[in-house]
Amino acid sequence: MTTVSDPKKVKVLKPDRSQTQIGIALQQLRKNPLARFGGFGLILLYIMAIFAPFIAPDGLSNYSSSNITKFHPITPIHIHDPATGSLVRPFVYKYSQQLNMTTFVNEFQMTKEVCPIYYFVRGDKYRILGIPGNIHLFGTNNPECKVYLFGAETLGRDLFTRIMYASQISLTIGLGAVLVTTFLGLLLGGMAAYFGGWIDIFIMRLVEVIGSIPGLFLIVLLRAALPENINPILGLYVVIFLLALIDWGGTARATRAQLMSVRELDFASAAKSLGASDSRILWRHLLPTMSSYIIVGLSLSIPGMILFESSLSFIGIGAVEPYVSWGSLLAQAQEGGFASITQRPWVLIPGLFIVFTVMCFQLLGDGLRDAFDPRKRH
Amino acid sequence: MYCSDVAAASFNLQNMWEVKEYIMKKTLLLALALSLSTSLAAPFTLPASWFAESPAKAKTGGEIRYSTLSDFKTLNPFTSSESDSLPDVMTSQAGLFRQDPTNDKMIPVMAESMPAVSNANKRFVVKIRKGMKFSDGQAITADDFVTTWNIHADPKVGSNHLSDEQINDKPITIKKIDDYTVQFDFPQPSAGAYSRMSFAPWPDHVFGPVYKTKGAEGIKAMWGVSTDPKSIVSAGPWVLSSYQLGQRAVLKKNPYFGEWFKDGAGKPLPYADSISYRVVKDLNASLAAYLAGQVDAAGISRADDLAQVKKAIDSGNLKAQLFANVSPNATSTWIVFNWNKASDPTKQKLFRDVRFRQAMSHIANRQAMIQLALGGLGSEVYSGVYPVFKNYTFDSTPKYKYDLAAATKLLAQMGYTKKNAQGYLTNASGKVLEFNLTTNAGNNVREQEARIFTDEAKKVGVKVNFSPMDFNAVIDKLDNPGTDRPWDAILLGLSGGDNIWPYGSNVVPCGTNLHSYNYTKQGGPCLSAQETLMDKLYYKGDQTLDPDARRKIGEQLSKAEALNQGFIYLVGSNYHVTYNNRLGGEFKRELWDSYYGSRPAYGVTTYIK
Amino acid sequence: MIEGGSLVRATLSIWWVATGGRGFVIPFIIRRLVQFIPTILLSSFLIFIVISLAPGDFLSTAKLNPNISPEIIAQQRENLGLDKPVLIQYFLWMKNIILHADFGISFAYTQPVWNVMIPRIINSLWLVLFITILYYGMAVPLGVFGAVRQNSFADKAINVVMYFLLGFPSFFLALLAIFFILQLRFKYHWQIPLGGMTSDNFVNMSFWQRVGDVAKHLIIPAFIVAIHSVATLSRVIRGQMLEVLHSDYIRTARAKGVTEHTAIWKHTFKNGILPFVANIGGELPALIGGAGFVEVVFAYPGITPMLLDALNSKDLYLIAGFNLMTTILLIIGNILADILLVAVDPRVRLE
Repeated sequence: MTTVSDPKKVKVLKPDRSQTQIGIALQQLRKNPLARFGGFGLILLYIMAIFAPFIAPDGLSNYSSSNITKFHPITPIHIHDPATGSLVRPFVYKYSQQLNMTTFVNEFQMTKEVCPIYYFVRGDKYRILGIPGNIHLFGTNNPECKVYLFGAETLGRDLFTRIMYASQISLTIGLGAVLVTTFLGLLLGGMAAYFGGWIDIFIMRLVEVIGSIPGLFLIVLLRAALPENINPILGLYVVIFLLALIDWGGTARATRAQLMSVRELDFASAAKSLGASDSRILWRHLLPTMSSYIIVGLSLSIPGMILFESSLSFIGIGAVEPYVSWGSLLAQAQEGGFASITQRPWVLIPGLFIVFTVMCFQLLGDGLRDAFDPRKRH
Repeated sequence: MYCSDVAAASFNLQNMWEVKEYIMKKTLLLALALSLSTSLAAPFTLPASWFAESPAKAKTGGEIRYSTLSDFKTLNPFTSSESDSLPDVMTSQAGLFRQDPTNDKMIPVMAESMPAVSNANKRFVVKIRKGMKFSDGQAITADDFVTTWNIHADPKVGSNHLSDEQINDKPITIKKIDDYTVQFDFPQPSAGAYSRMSFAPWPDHVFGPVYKTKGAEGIKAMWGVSTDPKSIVSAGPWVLSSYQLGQRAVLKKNPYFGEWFKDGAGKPLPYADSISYRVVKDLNASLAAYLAGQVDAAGISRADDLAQVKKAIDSGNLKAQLFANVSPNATSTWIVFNWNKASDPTKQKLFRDVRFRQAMSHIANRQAMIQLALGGLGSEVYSGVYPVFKNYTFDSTPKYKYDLAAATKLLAQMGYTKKNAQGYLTNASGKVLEFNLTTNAGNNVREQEARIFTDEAKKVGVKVNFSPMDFNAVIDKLDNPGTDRPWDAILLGLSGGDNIWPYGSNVVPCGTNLHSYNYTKQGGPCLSAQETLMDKLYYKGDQTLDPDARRKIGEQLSKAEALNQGFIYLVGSNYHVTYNNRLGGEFKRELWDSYYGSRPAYGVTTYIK
Repeated sequence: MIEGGSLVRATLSIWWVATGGRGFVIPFIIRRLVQFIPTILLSSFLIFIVISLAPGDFLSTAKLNPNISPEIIAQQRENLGLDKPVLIQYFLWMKNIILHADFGISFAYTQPVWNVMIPRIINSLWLVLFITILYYGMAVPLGVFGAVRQNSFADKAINVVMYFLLGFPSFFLALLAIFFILQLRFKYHWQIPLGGMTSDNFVNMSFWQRVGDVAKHLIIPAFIVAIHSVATLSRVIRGQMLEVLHSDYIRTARAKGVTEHTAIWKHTFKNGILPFVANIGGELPALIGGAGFVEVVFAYPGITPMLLDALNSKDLYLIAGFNLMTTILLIIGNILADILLVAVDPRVRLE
């Protein structure tokens, strides 16, 4: 039987008996071009996040209060000499700025001054994984005339740099939380279904108590309750983590429902009669029937957390200065209103990064789901 | 009432969407009127000379459509605490007196004439204009004024007007002399006596019986947002016609108002049949509604929004007028340093040193703050008197402008001459010149100003550790008195006030709760000589009824305040005006500012062309 | 992410319960209602504690007002009962709820919480119902289609579009929508609503005109929320469907000659949706929880903007009262869900 219409996937795979479950899955995954794309995309994104300070030409919060670059437009990179047309070292032009008091638009004019781009330049100090450095992938060595690959934001800080740094927060914010939530949900939902009785009642009422407080309420209130001198980004992680600790209710109920329908099935009873321990039956026999639900759930909830963080930024308690996330950059664009769309569309670029990340997680998630599904192999 | 309008404005200014809220609070006017006539049942006439166009051109009828960013929370005038509340809109212009925007003097409106003053400026006998009626046709008499005043004065009601009805906890009393005469007795002379007396009367025949039988609880339960509009009675130009919760309030003309309130051509006011307020809580949605022509005016503050309006006008999509930078707003941000740090004598000594505070004012790059944080549209502020109050702006008030060299010099005088390896100034014992600065998180404008301040401070070698925190936490710090308060410096803002005596009653005098630099306890002592002088001058001016004498005291006070630099004032936003071409009836252009607005508040003289 | 409500499903499934007969429904409900009480007490107490943990109260902002003296603030605090310890405040509040069904007074509105909350909740309910219909109307067919035509070009194209929409926060999609509506209005003078819930002349409309007017205002925000989150549900349905579609008993059913339609809808779909049925309870509070930030951006008079204000100003009883409502609905929803689960899944019993 086949429900697969992609001809590439109809290739028959003869599973080697000695292969492990994971080995087979990885092999399956490699054959799925979309999943491969998603996987590589994510690897690239995470590498980008780790080396963000190096890739970024500037420091996260650098701007000048004398040379105003508020909403500096994208600086095109030229490679031809304007006079001779011959190929030269890539360069950008310097811009001059003025607020037009009749249109109230910050106007930038390209000047004739040329700022060549160098590679591996010294600049703002940073640390990558604890190792200090000050070499940046590219730069002009001229603080008055920077490369604005993605333009500048409201204070005149380089948006490309900020997007790089933002990836560190956006790509990690939900990871731990989602894993904790899923683990707790599976464990407690599994226990409720498997043991039943008082344990079931207790766990399910607990789910109701903590599920009854809307998550957003709790975050707003908890954030305000944290010590005031706490580092804001640490505060954000703490709050998200606390939310994870209590957000397992949905997963637990779903797990319980699913397991209650399979626990009476033959293979579970068989395992039990063979003397398997409770925990073994739970983890080895019952929970694997949840794999599709878990994988799809994870591939949705990790990007979901990226968006949730942006919601928090929308009400001002997400990643706050001096930290940024893609979501908070987008919330800032939202704050600019229609001007963000008509006058400086580059401030929407962080949204594209979110979209790309979400897409990669989905494609990989779909691929994984298929790969772990033994019935999909032919 | 005027003072409370301002109070409510600053109250609302502090929440998370304060910028959004702020915009709607430009027109802090109370009432508008003039008449020197004392004849019986003479109407009040608005002078034609205030207006851009002759009242003869005004048309009658139509609906004025405004929007508001905050929900109307109650119809009850005694519990309402927001500005631009429905009770405010309904009773716009309804007060005993108002200020004349051409000369800032008080003129009688619901009063027949200016009161007879006796008992060393403490007793005012006010004749009430005859022939005024509530929207239900009942006459407005002394009883209405007395009952309204007494309900506001009951602490159990919790009215925001209470502070206008007492001075230093001593009550101002009101007494009915006859049906059309009331007498106010003040415990001491007061600069704001006329504005304190300029409250809107509410019907005694509605509130009086309830207050007598059920007391404060009875009053508080009245006139909630779901009350039937038919039972609402107003003394002012408008009365509620319908209110869809959280969506739209429509007010219709009170036909009896025009019987005594006329324009320069003798026509009854208001001109329009109705005025509607659509509740649009989002700035962008509110701008969109204006651009689409769904509302007739917009309060705009951001350069981006000005640009959008300008673009829509230029492209012919919106037929409207736009006037940018009409005046500064009555608001400013500031940085305050804590003088009460017993546990850290070095910092306490530092913050108490006037040279340090002057240096900090020199460090504040106000132009950069305007350019970056306010989008190029704002004003520098150097004094607690906001620059919009031109009658209280004096050349003799010193300004410590942006000047890094001057700052360096002052700090060197204090012994901070050497810089360490990181480039920060140290004193003889090697201690780095540093302090912590905070502001309320989520307020982008303030955060940006704090960052600019931090960056400029670094240039002269002052290390500022800036971290924003939750609004309530900041207020807790600022508000709690003590000899060892747990903070160094806070950046916040205040707004409001009037041009009668524009010094904050709980800001300037020592030992008051917003005298934030030195607040050891409620009623605590002054520390510096300038502070003592300010304290003295404040009370002197506050008890001076004569405007010219008061202004002279103000000049000395402003100078002492600036020399003291207790607050380092930074920048304030500007006031912009835009309205579409349907509307007429605005003031003469030279009268416009953020204090008087561009037209009398709440559409009394606004007509539809 | 807002998943909308599930009232439609809840009502549809009542007859399922009737066909159940495995386990006694009434004793089950009674037992659950008894468990109800500690849950509610604990939950309402928790929210009270969390609110009081944060510094400041409703009167904090008044402290920055240059014209309100500390004495007046102290008096107001006494009037509002905020001078009492949190525990006392909680017991007084609970006592009034139990004895008088009185949820307390909203400080900002100076009105009973109930009167403040209900009209907002009803406004939100219309929007959420609209969203729910659009959401399920799109997600179920898309999910089933994705499973049946797995990896076809159409399946992949739908995925890409949905991932794209999923990637933008809904508040931002809403801003984009308002911008484009504005451009359309400029260009073609179409009277598309820009936000809000009703038109200016709503009060003078006939009943059906009113229904039409509200619907006109609802459609765009509802569509944005629905299309933004449709990816979530349709992906999960697709996954669940695939799981069951490849299972032995469907193969058997097909081998036995069951029609494709029956195999998909009766056997596969019904089994595939079990995890959602378990979560219906969680969605019942969502029904009154509003449509989230889209309400803010579209200036919709729903519950979300009011709650954000309440949280911001620490309008204690309004927050706690609303929370109590959602708790009760959640518990009722969960009881319904457990009964429903028995109805749709022959292997589960009420215990």
